[in-house]
Amino acid sequence: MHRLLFRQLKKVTGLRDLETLSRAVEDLEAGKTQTDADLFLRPEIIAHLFNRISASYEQFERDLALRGRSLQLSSKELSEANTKISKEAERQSRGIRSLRETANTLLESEGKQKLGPKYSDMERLSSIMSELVADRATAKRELEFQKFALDQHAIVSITDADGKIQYANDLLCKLSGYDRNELLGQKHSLVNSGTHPDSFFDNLWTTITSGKVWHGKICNRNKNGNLYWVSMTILPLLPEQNMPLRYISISTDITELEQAKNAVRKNEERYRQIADASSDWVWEMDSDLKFSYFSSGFQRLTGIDPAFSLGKTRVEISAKNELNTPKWQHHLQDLEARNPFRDFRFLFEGPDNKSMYLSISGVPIFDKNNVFQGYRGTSTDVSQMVMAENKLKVAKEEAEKANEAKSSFLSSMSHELRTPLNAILGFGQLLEADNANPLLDYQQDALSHIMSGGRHLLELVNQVLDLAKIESGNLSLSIENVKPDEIVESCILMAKAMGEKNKINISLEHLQPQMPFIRADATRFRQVLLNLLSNAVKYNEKNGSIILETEQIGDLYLRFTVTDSGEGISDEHVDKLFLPFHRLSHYSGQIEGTGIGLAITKELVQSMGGGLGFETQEGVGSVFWFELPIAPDDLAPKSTEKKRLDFDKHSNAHPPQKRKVLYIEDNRENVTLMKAIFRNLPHLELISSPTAEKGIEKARQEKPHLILADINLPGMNGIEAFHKLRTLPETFSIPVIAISAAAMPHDIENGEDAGFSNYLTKPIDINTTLDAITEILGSE
Amino acid sequence: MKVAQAHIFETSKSELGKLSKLADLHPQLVLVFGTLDHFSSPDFYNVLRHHFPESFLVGCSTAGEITNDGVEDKTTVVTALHFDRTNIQVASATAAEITDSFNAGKTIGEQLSAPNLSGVLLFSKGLEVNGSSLIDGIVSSVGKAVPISGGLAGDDGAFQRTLVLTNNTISETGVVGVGLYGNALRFGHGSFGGWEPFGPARKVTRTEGNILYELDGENALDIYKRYLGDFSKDLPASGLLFPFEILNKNHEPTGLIRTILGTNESEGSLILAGTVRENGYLRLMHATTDALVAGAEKAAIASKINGTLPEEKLALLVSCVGRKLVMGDQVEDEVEIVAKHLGQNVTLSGFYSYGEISPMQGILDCKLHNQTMTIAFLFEDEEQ
Repeated sequence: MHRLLFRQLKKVTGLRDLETLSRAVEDLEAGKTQTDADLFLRPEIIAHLFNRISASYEQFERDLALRGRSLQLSSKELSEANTKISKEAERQSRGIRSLRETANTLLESEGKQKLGPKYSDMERLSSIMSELVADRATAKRELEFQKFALDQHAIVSITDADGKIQYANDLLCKLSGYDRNELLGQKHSLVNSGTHPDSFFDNLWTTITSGKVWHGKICNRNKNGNLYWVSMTILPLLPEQNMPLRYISISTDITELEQAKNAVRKNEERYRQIADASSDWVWEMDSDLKFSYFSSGFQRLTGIDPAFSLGKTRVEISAKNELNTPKWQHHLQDLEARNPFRDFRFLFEGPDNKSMYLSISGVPIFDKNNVFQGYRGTSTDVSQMVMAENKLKVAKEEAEKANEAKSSFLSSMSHELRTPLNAILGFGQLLEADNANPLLDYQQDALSHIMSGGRHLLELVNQVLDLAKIESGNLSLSIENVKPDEIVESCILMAKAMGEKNKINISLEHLQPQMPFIRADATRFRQVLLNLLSNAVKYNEKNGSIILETEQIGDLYLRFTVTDSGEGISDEHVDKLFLPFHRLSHYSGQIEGTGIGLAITKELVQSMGGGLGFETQEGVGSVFWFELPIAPDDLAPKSTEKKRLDFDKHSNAHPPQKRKVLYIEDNRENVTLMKAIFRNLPHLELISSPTAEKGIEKARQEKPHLILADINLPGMNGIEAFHKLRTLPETFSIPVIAISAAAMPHDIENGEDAGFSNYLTKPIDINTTLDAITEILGSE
Repeated sequence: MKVAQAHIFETSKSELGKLSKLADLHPQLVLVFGTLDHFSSPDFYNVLRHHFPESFLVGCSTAGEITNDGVEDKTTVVTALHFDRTNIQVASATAAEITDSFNAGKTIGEQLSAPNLSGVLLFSKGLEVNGSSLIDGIVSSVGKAVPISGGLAGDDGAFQRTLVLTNNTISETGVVGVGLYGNALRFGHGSFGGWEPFGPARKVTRTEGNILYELDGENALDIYKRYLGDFSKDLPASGLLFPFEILNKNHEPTGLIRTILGTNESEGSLILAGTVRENGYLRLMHATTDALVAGAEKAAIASKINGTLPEEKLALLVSCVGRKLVMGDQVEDEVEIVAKHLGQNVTLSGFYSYGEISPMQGILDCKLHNQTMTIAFLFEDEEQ
């Protein structure tokens, strides 16, 4: 039973399953009643079934109709689409044919194989077309590049068969100075310079009219009348494809090259002339450092045939005894390293025992690959110069020796004088200070002369040392901001004391209300001012007068002027005024002085950044002045107050238990003096040793609290002794003060470097010595 | 889960008495799909409520009812569901105008939305509604990850009036959603047409929502009538025979089909059962019984969940009225093949509709379908 009929029967009969229905149909066929088959006989069921069957038929009919219709519509639409597509295809085919023909034209023009008539692959065709188009674009671009490059580099023109210009590029216009319009239609004779003969151009025309290429250099004249050179190639363009015969000319501007050639010629001539006139000659060496060339100067100046030196190295022609000197070794290293060298001097040994000093300078030569090719340079005969220099050298060495002798003399003089002075001034100070045993008046008077003489001698020694310091450049200044008032006043007081005997009146005049601070070493400033004032006192007359003026010069300097009413200085002495040891001769007997004061004074002022000068008139007097820089801001100066000798102060400073001091000194007077000083200091006990060796032994036994040591001792000196003491366990911590007559700058420096607690110079100032001792013992 | 079903052929007292047996199940949810005649009878809701005072009552009028026995017309199928491990929530909204569609969906979605929402059954009025917008509205609230299944109500192919049972009432403008909560619920789904495209692809040159005005610059109704020929006088019902396939811009099928629900002679427009986009492409489709049955088979296979299944299962079948028109008395073939594939002990409940709601094949992206057999296969995992 058809599935649909089964469903319809099921619907109309209400019989749910296929089996029951099938049985009912079989029963119906068999004519059985009283079964489900009875349902089929019921009219309403039959009517219902017929309706369903009819509806199904209608549905099928509808479906058929609709499907038929959609088939019809679809096929109609399909056939329309088909027609459209075939029209489209035909159009495409026409397009392809046309494309193929175009491609073939292009392919043919490039000498490539043409496409066959069956060639209709659209993709392949379009790719061929795009390749062809790209090729042609590339070729066109290439051509344009080439033309551009040609136009950038070369002067290009094209003429017709008659030589009339049809094309001129920018470079031709630029070089000839003519506008393009001025050139076109003209012949090249427009730029004819007239420097070539007619035959030159005849030859040119003969060549190109016979179809050959012409090359040559032509000198032309531009619109401004200036000449220019071109290197030209002219080639005939034979008639082709409607184009007549033409000539194309391509040239390059070689004006600069031609000018350069001329310049080179001139330069060569110039250098040759210079070389001929020069006292130098030019040489060249090959890569083995053998001489390969000499300019004519060599023979002219040395009289030696260059053949002697050619092919030889410099070592072969130099004095053999020089070759091992460091100078030569260094030079040989330079050559090995291909370094340039300058003014190397060597002894040249020529033929026939002829020798001379030569100076040689050279630079290495490299080719463009940086391969060493040799040296090139100049040489000159310096024999005369070398001999003169040698003489000078000897003279200089002698002078230096003399100077050293002088320094040594000054040093030992200073030392030798200080030792006796130590006794003189030391004991003198003790006598002056001995209040327990006051001196009688005449003794007092005598003592003051001894002290005055001693101090003068000390001043002399000190000034000699100052001078030595200045000459050796060892003068050390402590420049600070200094308030001049107190120093000026104290100097005036001292000068007044000096001038009291001759009743010399000294006055001070300030040209402005307040003196500014100055930049100076306070001690040296005092020394300078005192020197000028004391000179003014010394060289004045009885009842004479001295005026000290201070004056500010702008913002920069403070000037001190000392005017005296002495006799002035004669012209013959004026020139020598600042020379050391020179004294105004007619006074030399009467007036005490060292003769080096002014020389030092001037040096000191200059060292402090100032200046010193004077004016003088014989019979009227002299005016000496100096200026020192004004300090940029006001700062308090260091106190310069001098201390008085006061044993009590030092006695009180120490604690009650006795302290032991060891004095190592070989000079008996000095030991005696020190003992005399220590007698005033009951809390201290002085022991002494005459040599360093004994002193060290004593120090190990006694373990003093302090050691005073002379430097210049027999045997081991004071500095060595100090180092020894530092290595011994018993003594390494004992402080040591050096007391030495070695007072030269380098001596003091050595002593300070050695590490002494202090370094005192003889003659000792008792106050200073006691201060140094108190500083150490009092600080324990 | 327990399932019980009654098939009511008339609103007589004896027939309605069948419902008493269902009440023994103490169902939380009762699905009711029936002919408009039953739905519009005055006491229908009260009778239902009388039998199921505690249950959610949800359903709609149809163009044919589906049970395990096949397809019937002019009947009502009532299915009672008792869930052991799944919570139920029902939300409804009204969509008086077609433009209310999105908001109605959104309202329902907002009421149902919860983190453990594992599926939604949705039933809507079948006319004057944009099913696509309705779904978009729900998805905007619950998200794309929740499967939604269901359909639009029908009226036996008359296209006059449809009704929806929204738990509290039966309404012409109603939309109702059932939220299923918890992870015990398993939800398989499948939807397939079986229609065959023919003729050229046509560009949508003018459209507004679900109203199609022009194809390829030509009056849409004229083109359509050309294909229907004499049958165009039966529009809109005959429109069900030639639905449109929605193509993407490469003229490839999207799997979506649009049924013609109505025509507007004065505007020359077609009213579709869902939205089409302007500048999109459409192609006419037609069908044979065999192809449609094969489509239903595919939907069944897709919805099936393999493994050890519990004793009681429900398959909610929503099929298009167009299929019924094409297949005539053979329409039961598609129900039979679905039943065969889903196996024993599956209660089939469903109806012929004016639009099917289901996630797309393979992805949880809910769409309005037309002309398909749409299946939601539901059961609860048994307690471990």
